[in-house]
Amino acid sequence: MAQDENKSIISVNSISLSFGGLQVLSDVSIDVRAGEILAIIGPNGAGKTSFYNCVNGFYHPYKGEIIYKGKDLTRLKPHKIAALGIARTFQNIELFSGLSALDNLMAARHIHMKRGALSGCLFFGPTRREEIAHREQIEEIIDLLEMESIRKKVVGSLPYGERKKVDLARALCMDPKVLLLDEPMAGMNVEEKEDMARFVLDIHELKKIPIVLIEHDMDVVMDITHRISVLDFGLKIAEGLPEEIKNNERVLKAYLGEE
Amino acid sequence: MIEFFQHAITGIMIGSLYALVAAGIVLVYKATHVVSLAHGQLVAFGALFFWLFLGGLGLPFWLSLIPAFVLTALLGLLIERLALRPLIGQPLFAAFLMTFAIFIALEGVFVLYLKGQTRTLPAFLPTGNLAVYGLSIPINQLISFCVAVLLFAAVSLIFKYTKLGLGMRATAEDHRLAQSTGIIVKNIFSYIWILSAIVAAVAGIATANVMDIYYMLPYIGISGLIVAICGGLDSLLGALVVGLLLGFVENVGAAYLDPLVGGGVKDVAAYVVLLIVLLIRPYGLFGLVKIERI
Amino acid sequence: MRPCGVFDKSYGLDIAIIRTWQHWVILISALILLYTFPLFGSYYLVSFMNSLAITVIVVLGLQIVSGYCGQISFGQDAFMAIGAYTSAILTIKFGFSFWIALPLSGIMAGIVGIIGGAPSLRIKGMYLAMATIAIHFVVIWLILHMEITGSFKGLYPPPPSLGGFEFDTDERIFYIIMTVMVIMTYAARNLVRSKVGRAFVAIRDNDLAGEVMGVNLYYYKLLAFFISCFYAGIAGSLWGHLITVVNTEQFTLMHALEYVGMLIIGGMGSIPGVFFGVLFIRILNELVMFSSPVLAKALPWLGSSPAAALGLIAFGLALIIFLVFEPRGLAHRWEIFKSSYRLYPFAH
Repeated sequence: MAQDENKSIISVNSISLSFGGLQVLSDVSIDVRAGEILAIIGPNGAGKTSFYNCVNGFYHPYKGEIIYKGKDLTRLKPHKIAALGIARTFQNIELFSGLSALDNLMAARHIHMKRGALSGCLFFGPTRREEIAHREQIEEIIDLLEMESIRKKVVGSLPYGERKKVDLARALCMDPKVLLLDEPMAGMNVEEKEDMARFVLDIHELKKIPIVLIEHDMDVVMDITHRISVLDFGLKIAEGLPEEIKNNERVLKAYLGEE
Repeated sequence: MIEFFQHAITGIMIGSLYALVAAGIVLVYKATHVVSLAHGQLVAFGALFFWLFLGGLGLPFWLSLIPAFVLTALLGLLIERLALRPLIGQPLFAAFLMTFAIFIALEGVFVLYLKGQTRTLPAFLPTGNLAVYGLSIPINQLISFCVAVLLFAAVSLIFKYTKLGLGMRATAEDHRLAQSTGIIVKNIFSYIWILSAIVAAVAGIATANVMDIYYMLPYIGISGLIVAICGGLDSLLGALVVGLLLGFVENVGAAYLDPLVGGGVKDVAAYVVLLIVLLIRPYGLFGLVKIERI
Repeated sequence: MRPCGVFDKSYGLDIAIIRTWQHWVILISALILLYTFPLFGSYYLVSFMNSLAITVIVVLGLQIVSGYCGQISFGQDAFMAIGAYTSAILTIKFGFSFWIALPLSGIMAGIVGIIGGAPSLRIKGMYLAMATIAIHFVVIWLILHMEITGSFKGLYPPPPSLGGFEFDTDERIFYIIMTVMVIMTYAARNLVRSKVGRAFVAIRDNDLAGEVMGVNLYYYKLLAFFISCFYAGIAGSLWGHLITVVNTEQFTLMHALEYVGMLIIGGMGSIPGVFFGVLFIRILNELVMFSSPVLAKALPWLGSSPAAALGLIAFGLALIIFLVFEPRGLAHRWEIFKSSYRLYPFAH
């Protein structure tokens, strides 16, 4: 069991990414191990979100490779990577704003639904049964994240905290093998943060999947994560257990500036 | 060879009209990021107003020019005030659809006024041809070509060196940010529509100089849009270059390809050019490439 | 529509469109009314319904690609032309029966639609709208410059027939058109609530997030164009066999603009919205048509035949008013009405 938990699920091997003259990531290597909660921290503009964008295929690094369970993701398109089971949330909540919360989640079942356009037009027999079966699975996640009351509301009109929740639920509905969370607690008050932290732990326990977390709130990071990687100006400057990071000099410098 | 140059020159002369039409569209886009389908109507109405005073009332050239400008500017202002201002804050696409609605409504007014007839401007520019190296260039077209180039220069200078131009450029970058630095964004919108309408009036008069005013005239706005898009939408230089280029392609293409395909190259050349440009360089030949962020 | 106090007891019931026995009664009586309409409706009304139903089919297609998938297309009338010509060529030159030519012309228009939709893979929004305008003109130009389409003269497709029975009057072909419309509406309504429909909306609302959810953007955008143009092709085929003449003058950019306008007024992203939009514009048009001779008499400066111009003005003004005051269209009003009915007599 112990060995299993240390096996790396995603290994990112020294990727580099640049836009024009701007070096966004240089030689970043991060492993995501089975069964861990990994935090990626760093000051604004350190390249954390760009790192995610590389992993799920929005950007293609010009150097290095991203291996997921022995498969090279570096050149794959985002929808292919999604089908392999990597789900993510977004810093700025990128929901399908015209759909209800429920339909947002159903849309996330996309990769698991098999019926095509023609049987969709008929909506009869197998298609209808498939629809209902997926609905049942989604209701479990709605139950887990306590969002029954907003089920049928159009997400564009929901308050910020609820939209964050829908974003997380939508990623969960993909039945992911790896979950990448991008600042799930940004802009929340203490209570909402506590709720969100509890959800992350619940998910981790229930689904037994590795979770990667970008977060600025150090208290949360120190509390719930197993390991931390620190990025600064596109470089990985430290990696280790929360206690180690807390006292790492380079990290302190990056956050507090040089004296 | 001389034949080729003749076709090319004629095409470029026509192209300067396209460039003028496109200039108005680029202006509006630069400050408001709204792509105006209605611009063709401003062009057509500019021509019509000018005809009203020159041909209808028989006023002299300069006396017809000024009321034509004023009336077209008023029309532009009206469009901005009544239709586009209520949409501030909504998605830009709503504004695009709004200009499309304005196009249809004004097309109705235009058709209603013309009653199926055509109007022809009396000659107000010196006629005759200029012969250079065996090429013949109609003088009135040469004049409108020069006016077009001068107008481009003037508008570019306004944008670059005046306080108003600075406000327009700031507004183009970010409405809210511009507002917070004390620029009255709504006023900027009004000014830009007035400016664009005056440019449209010039384009309309120049166009009516070489063709009749009839119910299809507003559709020159589509050619203008094609030029503006191929040029990159926010680039005046792009509009000028692509405008001239399009006139050239249409005319030379028609001269040499028409016999091969059985005519009608002129009707379709612009659209083919647009499709090719969009497939190769989606943001136009001179446009800025946008990086999508998430 | 369901009254207060009716609750769903299973997920199956929750996703059903027709929820109560009252709905069934309304639906079936509406269908009976529709199919007996030629028995009591005047000739004028029947032919009005025919052109209405064909427009509904075209706009349903447009709703799928523009309202649901978010790819605005001004090329819909050109694809209708392709359908009409395909059907005419198949029946006249190759002797196909109408019943085979009908689906084939839909498929033909769909395939051309995939080519026409290809720019959507690189460009969005207004750029795409312009590209579709270009496609409209290129298609019409190609039709005019081909031998098989009869060029300027056009083609004269025969009316459909079945076992010796000729559907050669408006009252007779009415049944075919209405049946096709009902089937197409049923298919569209179901499509948009299935996996494919949600993928379309995902592309419309947030294409990048959609991709992260596993939606293959290329595939679904082209699928949307295929389906949309399939609808246009079917409508075109019906149109050709209804009026038994097909030429390029029937397919103008103004029609395509009109379809987009119907979508805006009816409401983007709603199947009932299609019916609202088509009805609204068509009735508006008829009103202008009837009132313009009166107006022309009262106001001589309007000229002798102001109908077309007045129609454009009315259409444009209606669009402007809707864009300012109700950008979500009549369908949104309908939703408000439905939800307040459901809550009646409680206010919340």
